[in-house]
Amino acid sequence: MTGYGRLVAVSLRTAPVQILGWALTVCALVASSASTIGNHYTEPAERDAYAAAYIGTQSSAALQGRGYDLETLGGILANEMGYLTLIMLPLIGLHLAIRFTRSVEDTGRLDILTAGPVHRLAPAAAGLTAAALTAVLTFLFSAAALVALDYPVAGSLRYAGGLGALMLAFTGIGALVAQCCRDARTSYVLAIACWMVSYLARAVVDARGVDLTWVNPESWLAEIRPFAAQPPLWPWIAIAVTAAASFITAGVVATRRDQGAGLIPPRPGPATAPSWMTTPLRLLTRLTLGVCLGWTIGGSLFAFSFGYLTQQMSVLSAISGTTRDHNIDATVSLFVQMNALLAAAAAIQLTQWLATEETTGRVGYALASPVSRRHWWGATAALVTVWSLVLLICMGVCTGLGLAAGFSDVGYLDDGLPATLAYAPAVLLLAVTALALQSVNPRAVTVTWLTVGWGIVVCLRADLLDLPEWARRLSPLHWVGAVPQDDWDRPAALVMTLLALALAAAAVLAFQRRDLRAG
Amino acid sequence: MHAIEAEALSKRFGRTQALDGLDLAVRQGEVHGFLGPNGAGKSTTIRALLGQIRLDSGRATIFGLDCWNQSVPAHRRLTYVPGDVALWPGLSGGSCIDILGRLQGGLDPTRREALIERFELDPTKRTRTYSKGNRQKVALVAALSVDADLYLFDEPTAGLDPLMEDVFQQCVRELKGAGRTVLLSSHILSEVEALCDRVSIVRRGVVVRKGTLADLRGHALTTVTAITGTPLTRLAALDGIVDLTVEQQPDGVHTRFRAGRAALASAVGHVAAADPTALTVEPPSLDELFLTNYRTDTVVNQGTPA
Repeated sequence: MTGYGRLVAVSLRTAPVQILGWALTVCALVASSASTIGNHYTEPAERDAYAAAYIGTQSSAALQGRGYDLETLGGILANEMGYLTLIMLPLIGLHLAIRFTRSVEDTGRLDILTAGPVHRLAPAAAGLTAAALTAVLTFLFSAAALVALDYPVAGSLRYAGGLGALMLAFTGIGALVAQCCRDARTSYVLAIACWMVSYLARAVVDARGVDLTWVNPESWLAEIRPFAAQPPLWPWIAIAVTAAASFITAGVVATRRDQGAGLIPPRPGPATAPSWMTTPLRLLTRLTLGVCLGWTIGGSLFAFSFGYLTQQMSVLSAISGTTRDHNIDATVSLFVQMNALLAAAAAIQLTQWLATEETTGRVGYALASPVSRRHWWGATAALVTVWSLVLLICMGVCTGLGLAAGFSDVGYLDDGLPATLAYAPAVLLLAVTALALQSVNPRAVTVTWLTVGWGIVVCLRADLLDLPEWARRLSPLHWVGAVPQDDWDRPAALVMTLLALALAAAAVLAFQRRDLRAG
Repeated sequence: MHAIEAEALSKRFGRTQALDGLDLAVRQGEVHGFLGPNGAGKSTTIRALLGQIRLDSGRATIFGLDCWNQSVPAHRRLTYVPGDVALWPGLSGGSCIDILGRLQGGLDPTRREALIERFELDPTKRTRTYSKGNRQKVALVAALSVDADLYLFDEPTAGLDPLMEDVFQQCVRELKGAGRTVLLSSHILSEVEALCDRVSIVRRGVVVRKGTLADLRGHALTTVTAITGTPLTRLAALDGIVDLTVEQQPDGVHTRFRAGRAALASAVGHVAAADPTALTVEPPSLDELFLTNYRTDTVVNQGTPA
């Protein structure tokens, strides 16, 4: 394949931080969990107790996947890590596949590269090589960390290999999505939708104990059973076949489609704009409608599924002593915090989307008209905050619906929304933080993802990682408390709201005073 | 009051001094050419006029309104075509025209239709599928459909074919006829010559030449070629003669030199006195005029005879 080697070098040189960073992040999370679990379950009796508590229920399988071989340290690790790995690995794989193929094509760089002596498939193949390298590095780093922490060598290799393989399978799916969609934005929406379907399908299969683990890549990570005495071979074959099939299909699509286009050719649109599209806010609403609806549908589905699974998930803890209601509350609290984190993620993605409006020069062009910067900023801020709150409300309602459906009791209907809305100030603060960074520099918004990432770690893994209180408080969600289990911390909510307002005021001033990036 | 008045504009981006004390005055009702090599600071000046960037020093006004503090009232009176038109993906070209017009405060629908026809634009195509020239047409239709006092054009015809270039020139003439002011940044010399009343040539962030084209021609060098029987010995001693070459050929002595306006009369007098068999005097071409002014070290300033 002519040009492949040179293009791989280009990909590696343009994003070494992405390639190394994601692998190191996964490795750090695996290593820190492995180390705490190693200290926690030193005695075989403790591990047996852990395993005994699990058997016969699918208590938390909805979130962390099925647990196997829980009498071994590795089995406990794999089970506990399921919380994060089932979310992170697929998303990293999908992101990198799109980042190294369709995003590059969107910039027009490919037109220059392919004008040279370069094989038709070389750009996509080179980009995917760079993306796949992250999966390989994830495997190598994690395996090394586990072996260094005295986990069994064969099991460590299998577990780390499973992490890399799952990431690779989703890199393949991302590659296929990126080849079929017309631009990176659409690719991300479709890719996240694919992941969400896979994740939720697995959650239902695992929580309900249905014997359908062979259909879904998300299930295979647990089915590898890395620390079993005789681990099965079929999940490896399944992952390899999925990855190979999607890479090959992506390659076939890449050779057949036009450069810069997707599978479906664009249809002509209306010759005039609809009469309601008159102000910046309405324009921005129209531009982001698709992604906002995507988030709302996905988020609602997510909230409903977990509301629905709450019953199965809270039964176990009830058996082990505490009252049933208390356990339901603890489980619901987890899910409404996930709702809030999803809403914050939506706000950040939307802000990032609007930030690219500026870097492409469209904001500069639009602001050559008699529209003030404050007006434009206000429209952006209104769009981001209102959509994230609408999303939060939809998810709260759907959590309630899911609870009512899961317990077959209408009384649970209004349990989701108030608890979810308790986190509105935290969502608002995270959204405004993203907006404020955008107001200073449109490229800085990416940093806000760290807050959501940390929020997920604190929400799901704080106890396992033995995080100190100050580290937990870095997540604004933690300030609110665990609603509905705890009471809503009103002073904290007030402080967060005021902080958000102050930040917003500072952001307007910053946006009015700086140079626009382009246009 | 001028349409645009800029005094000592200065702006630094990191280590690059994009504007270095640039002055610009555009009178009301004139078509003003804004020329200069790539990276000279033309687009930066226009972005400063639009209040998109904050100047380090200097002051720019549009119809007396400060470009930074009063940008909204200033923008009510102007419309703009960027050099690199970025349109909203997913929308059709026609939608983009309407949105830009509405943000501007409303466009004239009959003018919009007429312009779409004249520029042969398909308004139903998605912006993603437009070529550079077609994106440029969308921006031109949007700007020209608006009734403004000042039209800021940043290389508006880059990517247009010659037919469309002609349509654009007609449109600018109509604006001029209606008494509108136009600032036209351009690299296309024929376009500048056909349209502009006055020009400003910018280089390295400062205006190095300004005035009417006739003024600028006056500063440029005229090329003289002559064939004489004997060498023109005293020519080299004259002030203001440059690029002098002398060649002995079978049909006589071929002499070629360039002279500024001051030296031209006496130089041609010398040549005429030597009874030339052939004499051509070429006025400075526009190309030459610009090339001279675009180059970092202008021949005009050297002034030493070869």
